[in-house]
Amino acid sequence: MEPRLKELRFNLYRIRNNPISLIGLGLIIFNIVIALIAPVIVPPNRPNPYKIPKIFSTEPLPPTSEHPFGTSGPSGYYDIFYGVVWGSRMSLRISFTVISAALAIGIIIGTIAGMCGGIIDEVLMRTTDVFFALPGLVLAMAVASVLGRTIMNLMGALIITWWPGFARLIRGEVLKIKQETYVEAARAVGADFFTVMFKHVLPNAIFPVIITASMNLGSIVMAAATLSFLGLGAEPGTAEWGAIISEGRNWMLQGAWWTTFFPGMAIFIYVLGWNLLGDAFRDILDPKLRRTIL
Amino acid sequence: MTENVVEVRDLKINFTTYEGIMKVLDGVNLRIRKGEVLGLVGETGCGKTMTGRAIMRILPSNAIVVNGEINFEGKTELLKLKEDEMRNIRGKQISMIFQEPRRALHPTLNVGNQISEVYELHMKEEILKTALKEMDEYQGPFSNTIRGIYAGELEGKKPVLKKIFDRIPFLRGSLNEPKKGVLIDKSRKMLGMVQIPDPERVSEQYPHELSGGMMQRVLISIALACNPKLLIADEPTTSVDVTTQAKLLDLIMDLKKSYGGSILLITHNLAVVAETCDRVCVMYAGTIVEEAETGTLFNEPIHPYTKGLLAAIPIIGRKKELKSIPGFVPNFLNPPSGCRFHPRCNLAEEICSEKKPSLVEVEKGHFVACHKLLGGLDGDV
Amino acid sequence: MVMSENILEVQNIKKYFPITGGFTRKKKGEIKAVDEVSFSIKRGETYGLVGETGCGKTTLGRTILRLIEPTSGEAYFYLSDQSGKSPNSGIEKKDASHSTRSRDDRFDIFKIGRRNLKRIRRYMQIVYQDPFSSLNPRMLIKDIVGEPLKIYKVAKGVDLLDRVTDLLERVGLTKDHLFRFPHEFSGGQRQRICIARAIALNPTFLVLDEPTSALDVSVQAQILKLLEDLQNDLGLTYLLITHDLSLVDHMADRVAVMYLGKLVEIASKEELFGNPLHPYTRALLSAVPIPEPERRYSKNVIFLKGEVPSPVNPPQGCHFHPRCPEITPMCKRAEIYEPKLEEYTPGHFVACTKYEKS
Repeated sequence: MEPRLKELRFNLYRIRNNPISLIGLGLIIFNIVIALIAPVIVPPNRPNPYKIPKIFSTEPLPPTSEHPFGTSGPSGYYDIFYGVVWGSRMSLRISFTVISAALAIGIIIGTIAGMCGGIIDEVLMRTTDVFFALPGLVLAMAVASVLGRTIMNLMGALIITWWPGFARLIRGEVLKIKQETYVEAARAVGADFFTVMFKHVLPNAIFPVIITASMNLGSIVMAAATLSFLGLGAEPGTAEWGAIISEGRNWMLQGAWWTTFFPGMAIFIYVLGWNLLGDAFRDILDPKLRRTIL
Repeated sequence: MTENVVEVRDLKINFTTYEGIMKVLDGVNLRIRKGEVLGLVGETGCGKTMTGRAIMRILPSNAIVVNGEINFEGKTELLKLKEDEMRNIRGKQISMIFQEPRRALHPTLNVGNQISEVYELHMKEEILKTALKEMDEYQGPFSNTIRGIYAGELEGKKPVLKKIFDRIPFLRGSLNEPKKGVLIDKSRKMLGMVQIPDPERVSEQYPHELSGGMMQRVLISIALACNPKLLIADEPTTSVDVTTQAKLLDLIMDLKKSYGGSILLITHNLAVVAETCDRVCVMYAGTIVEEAETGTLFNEPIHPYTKGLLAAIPIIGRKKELKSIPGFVPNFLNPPSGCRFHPRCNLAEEICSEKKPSLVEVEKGHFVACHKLLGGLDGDV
Repeated sequence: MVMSENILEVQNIKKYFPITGGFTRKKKGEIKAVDEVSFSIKRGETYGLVGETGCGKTTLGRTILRLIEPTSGEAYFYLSDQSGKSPNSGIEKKDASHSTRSRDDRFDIFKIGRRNLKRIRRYMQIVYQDPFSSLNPRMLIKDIVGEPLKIYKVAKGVDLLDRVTDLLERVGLTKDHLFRFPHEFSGGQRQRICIARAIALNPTFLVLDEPTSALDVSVQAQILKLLEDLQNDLGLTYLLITHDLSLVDHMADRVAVMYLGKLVEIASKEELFGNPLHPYTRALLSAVPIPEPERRYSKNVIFLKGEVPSPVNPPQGCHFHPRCPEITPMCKRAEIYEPKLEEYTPGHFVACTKYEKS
């Protein structure tokens, strides 16, 4: 396994030398750490830690030592600090769940379409187009009104919106890799359809998709926050950044800047971190840019 | 004494990479005489392309010139020039053609425009003068103003009117029209010189519409447009077929006769060198190991590497066993000490791993870099 | 059982690539890459197939192995074991009834079913031109060379590793190279890896598609020597596809010259180089540069006018006539029909109106 370790070391070297990626990595690590030690920073609310515990108040309070980020309402006044800290856990949960599921669906459909070609390809791609055309917003509204406003439904709506992009991407890569000489060479030594697909095409086709996926982790949270903000995602009072901003909207004009500032900053840091890291991944993992020999 | 067009002295170039410093050129010495075709032969990775690019000073960003000088026409030291002074020489006095014409041509400019570009960059004055002369019969709108602007440009001034004209699209078109006419004429003439049939039509075409051989001719016409003193041809026929290669080489030789410049032909194909070059330099791992007139090199090679190369190529009509040179091309990160060829040489002795041999004139015009042939070592040549 | 003299017989192979376009994706035209080619290769010989870029020789090589599906034509492969035993055990009987085999050891490559094709494939392998793109960049060398052995269940586990090491050593590499990636090797080494992969299953027939074009001179000599040694040790038959006539002169026994999808001349090597008949062959031979400076001035290059026409619209009749330097009034008739390959002298075939007996 030595050569793969060497490759890993080379990649880490590239990450280390790329200042943008270091910033991105730093921001992400920061988020992950906060998410991990959330129970330590702020004791969780029982039974559901994602429901922010309510406090007695009639109006939002500015940041004080007791409530470092202030408080907000009116669905029941609560501590924003709690919301932001536990919100980081929630964001990671949402991002990874949605991306994993969308990747899984997209890869399966895209690979089958690309490998089979012909009528199967046509059918699958037209279906993908239909899903592509569904506006995420409308879908989320429909889901929210019919099935209720829960995080699960929010994630479901996001998955349905996200998978077509991956399907198309991997289909394109599969079509490209299928034409490479080494794929034909594999057929010449007797490899059948499935061997070619799993051992030769997929491992080489999957990289651009992974990179796009990692960049999308930030966008997912953005989308979730937007939907919550519009009242379609998590219910207010949930430890979800968008939901907090949604309520804060009411108080902004009255001078209670803290109700939107802190959760907004949280989103910004999270999305920026993933975008920078994703950019760096792309530069690093692009096989053409590596090891330019004269 | 024949004057040298370009003389490269003890050129050493390093490259910085992730894995360390690659010592690519290790003291290259070569002379290109006026009017000759010099072949620079070597295998992939020996540094011959880098040498050509060093003369043109178009090295990659991680290249460092550690040592050496490149003299142009005996007076200008190319490595010491400032970038804009070098730009004056590139394309005008020294030009280069490349292996893959498809990648060297602009994909969305038509062929005529690409040739004109060279004229616009390097022969501005001549274009303006010719345009003015031709405008004597031309009586179009603003003709007097345009004449004034051209005259001003010739004197080196920057006429205010020009700026105004440039801003307004319609006027800009009229302003450039006489110039364009001259440029189109010259480009078409150049296309004719490289034996492209139907130059009027071809000059309107785009590179992807042309075959490999035609594209290479276009590249040659761009390179020769300003009648350079030296043409560096980097593997010009490696990517074309045998029949196209024969035509291209024939063309290059013809043009050399009519233009009178020198050519540095960089290639790994010994057969091409045998047919076209006056003298040959053999390069191995960043240094010249042998230099001689073509006939002498092929019939009386001295350096073991040259002998090895000649023994490895099949020749039509000659039945021979192909002998390969044992071992592998060295790594530039940790090149062998002393003579870089010694690990693969069956004549190697202790001194070969200690000291790098320098190019010595063994007989008139024949230079070899090998310890075995200098005095002090027993052993027959 | 008598072993047939031929190992491969190819008849009237056509490979046309359709060009689709437009909204309805209708067929607008065809690229006639291979246009009715017939020839046969004797067991144990090296058969050279020469031509320039775009003449279809690579497509022909891949079609013969059915890595590309042919448009029409037949290709028969004669299988036989070195031990003289019939290797047919295991080949399905059902193919016999389809008259794809009239003799026990002949297989119609284009008509047999998938399972039999897989069984035949182990005896017919290919080495590609570009060593940089014919190896999966994400697979270790041991897996690349071991893949055929795994697929055909010849070995597994430690035994597999031993056999792969054996193969690598046979082509001049060592067991240190097992656990590395392709990009860590030079072009010559990669080509050796491709050769190791190709001989893993002990094939009898090997298609060599420009095996040394991408390599340096001294490396080329090494690879050629390796190929010659392997041919002697393993009793291989080679179809050597190349544009390099010096290589053909060095290695081949018989040579076929291809132009724009058709064979224009077939002869033994000595006949082809000593007495080339077809004008294209003559032009080709005259254009080859010779590394002997004294021959420079006695050489008479025959220049062909124009460029190679596109295989989409090949010229009517004799494909070569618009560029032919030896065109005669007789060839005007060539605009209506095309000259076929005919035997001019024993073993020497040429497709040219000048040599037609009628």
